[in-house]
Amino acid sequence: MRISTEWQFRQMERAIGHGTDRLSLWQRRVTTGRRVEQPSDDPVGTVHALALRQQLAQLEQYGRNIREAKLFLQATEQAFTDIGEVIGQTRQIVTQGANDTLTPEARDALIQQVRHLKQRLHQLGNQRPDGKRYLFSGQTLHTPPFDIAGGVMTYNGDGNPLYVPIAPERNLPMNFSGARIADLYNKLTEIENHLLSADSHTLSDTDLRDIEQFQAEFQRYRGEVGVRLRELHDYEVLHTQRKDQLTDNLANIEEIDLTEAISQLRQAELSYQSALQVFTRIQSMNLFDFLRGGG
Amino acid sequence: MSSFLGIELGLRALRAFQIGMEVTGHNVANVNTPGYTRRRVRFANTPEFAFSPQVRLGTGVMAQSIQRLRDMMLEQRLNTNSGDLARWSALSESLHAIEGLFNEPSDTGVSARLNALFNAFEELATRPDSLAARQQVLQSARALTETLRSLHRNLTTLEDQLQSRMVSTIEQANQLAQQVARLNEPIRSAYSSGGESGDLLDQRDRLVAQLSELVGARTHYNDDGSVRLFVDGQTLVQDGAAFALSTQIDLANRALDSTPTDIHISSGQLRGLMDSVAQLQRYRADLNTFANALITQVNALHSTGFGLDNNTGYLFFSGTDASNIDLHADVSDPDHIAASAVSGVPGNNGIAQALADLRNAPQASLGGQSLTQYYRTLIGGIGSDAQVSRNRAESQQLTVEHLYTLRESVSGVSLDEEAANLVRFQRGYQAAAKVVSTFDSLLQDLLQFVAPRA
Repeated sequence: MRISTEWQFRQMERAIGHGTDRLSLWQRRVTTGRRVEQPSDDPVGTVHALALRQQLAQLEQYGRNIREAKLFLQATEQAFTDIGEVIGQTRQIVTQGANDTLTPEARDALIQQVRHLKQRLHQLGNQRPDGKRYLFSGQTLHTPPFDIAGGVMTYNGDGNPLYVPIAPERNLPMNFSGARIADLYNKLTEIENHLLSADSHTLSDTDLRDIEQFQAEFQRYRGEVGVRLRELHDYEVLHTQRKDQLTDNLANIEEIDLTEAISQLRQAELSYQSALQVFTRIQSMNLFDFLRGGG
Repeated sequence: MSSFLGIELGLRALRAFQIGMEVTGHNVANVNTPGYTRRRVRFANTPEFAFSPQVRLGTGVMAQSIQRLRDMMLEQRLNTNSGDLARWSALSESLHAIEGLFNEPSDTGVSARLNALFNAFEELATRPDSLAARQQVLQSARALTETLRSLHRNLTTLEDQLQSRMVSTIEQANQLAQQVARLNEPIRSAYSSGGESGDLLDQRDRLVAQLSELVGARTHYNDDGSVRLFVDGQTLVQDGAAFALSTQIDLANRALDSTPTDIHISSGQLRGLMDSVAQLQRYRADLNTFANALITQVNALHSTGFGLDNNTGYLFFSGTDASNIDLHADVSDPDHIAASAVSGVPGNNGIAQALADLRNAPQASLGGQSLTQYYRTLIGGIGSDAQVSRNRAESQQLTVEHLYTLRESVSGVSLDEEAANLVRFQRGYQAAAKVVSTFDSLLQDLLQFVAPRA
């Protein structure tokens, strides 16, 4: 086959061009660490990568939501602990008040204590840990949940759940209705009245039974908070694991294997160098040069 | 027999070798000229001279013709394949540019912006009353609408560029066709006088090659040396006449409006540009479908919800597609974002949650795909279209390279060969000069011998 000079040069040009292309491709890949720079580099991989990125973004949002719900539930847990203390103290007062031999001074002291506990309960019920949202008003959020009129506490919240999306298909209610807190308050008022009237029979019978029921009930609520916090924690762990997994998958699609990339870069450098060397050799090989040298 | 026959014979040889050296020089000079076809002198011995019936003397050499070494079949195959290469290269280039505009996967593309908006809706579902969450919603929605609008704008700018490139391709082809038509006549007259004008033919073949690349023109070489050019069976050049291609483009049929029938373009840069514009329009239409579904779905939910001011009926997006999607004036006040499904209940997140759930909700208007899925599919489609066209262009490039190799092996100038020829003609010339000087000295002797008589 005849080889023309122009063709020879063009071949060399192409070889060098390929060399530079390949070299710069692997240089770029090694420095950026990215394998897929545009969808056409790997169309199927790109679609997959976009889906993975979406899942990752959603997981991150779930993470933020979980942190938010945690704060709210932790505040609720503290509130139930505090209410539990109020109930515990009330129970002691009721037991003491049921004693017929109580002096009027001692009874007065108990009444003062109950009044104090009622105030405390009112405060606990109307608290807003973040300064904006009431813990117990349900979805009405900004309306103080507890009002006292004529000594009777009414619940003004709607008691509806504040749902937080924490996982696909899982919306966790992060709040508790405050309706029973009002009942508790009004029970305390009854106890106060029974102390006032020295009705030790009712105190020892109905009141003690009721307050024990409240105690059990609010303990259950605390337990329920614990269950929800555990669920949040479990999802947090799950999401972290899933995120690691997805990040790994994403890296497999979008990122290069550095070891492979560096060896590819070496190869590209080598073949580029040899292309350049061949070019300089071929360039000097021409009959004209020899004729001139011979002449 | 003339006594000067010997000198005459030497002179003929000198002249022939000189022509040989000149042709060699011409070849060497054009070693880098694209489309140049190497020439070769064909030498022939001149008619012999019958000194007597038994003694017939040779009279030397002459340059019978200068041959242009070209394989027309190969040339045609090369042109056809160059046309296809130009087609796929043009498409591949455009799709690469389109891919660049979509800018995926990245942190600033539509896909990332869409994720950010859905995350913001989800954040709003967690804290429906929070001003910060509301501002986050507005900010990410604004970023998404800006990204969509600028993508749409950039696609349209690119389309305009492609459209005007189509027109200029056609105009350029029409000019080239006229030049080919003008060359047909002188080439034919050179042919009829038994020779061929190498430079005119080279010039014409270069034009024809360009026409193949531009509009996929096909060639028919006539016996009289002239060429006829066709596009889709319709004559582009015949004899001295060129028929201009219309710049009225029927994109759907990949054709140019013409009478009596439209001219379908099946190869060349023009076809590649037509495909590019058609693809671009399809992607843009899909982008608009996506934007429209986003606007419709978000507004349908949002308008049923309640803002923190307890009013309802607020729209979230304005516009109808990617070109004009924007935040609706209704939500210029963040309190008007309708997160709640119940009037007067700021802690209700019904609408915010429903908006967040749009992320993966199948949409009838998107053929049962969710918004995010639909967009991903669009990106995947662009990617694989770009990949296919790039692969086609690359493999077509190899075919063209192969044919080019074959063509160069016939028509290309080799400097080694020319150097050898130069030496050959130089030696021949030197030898012929020696012959002339030998006969000259013979004549000299003869003249001296007869001189005293005169």
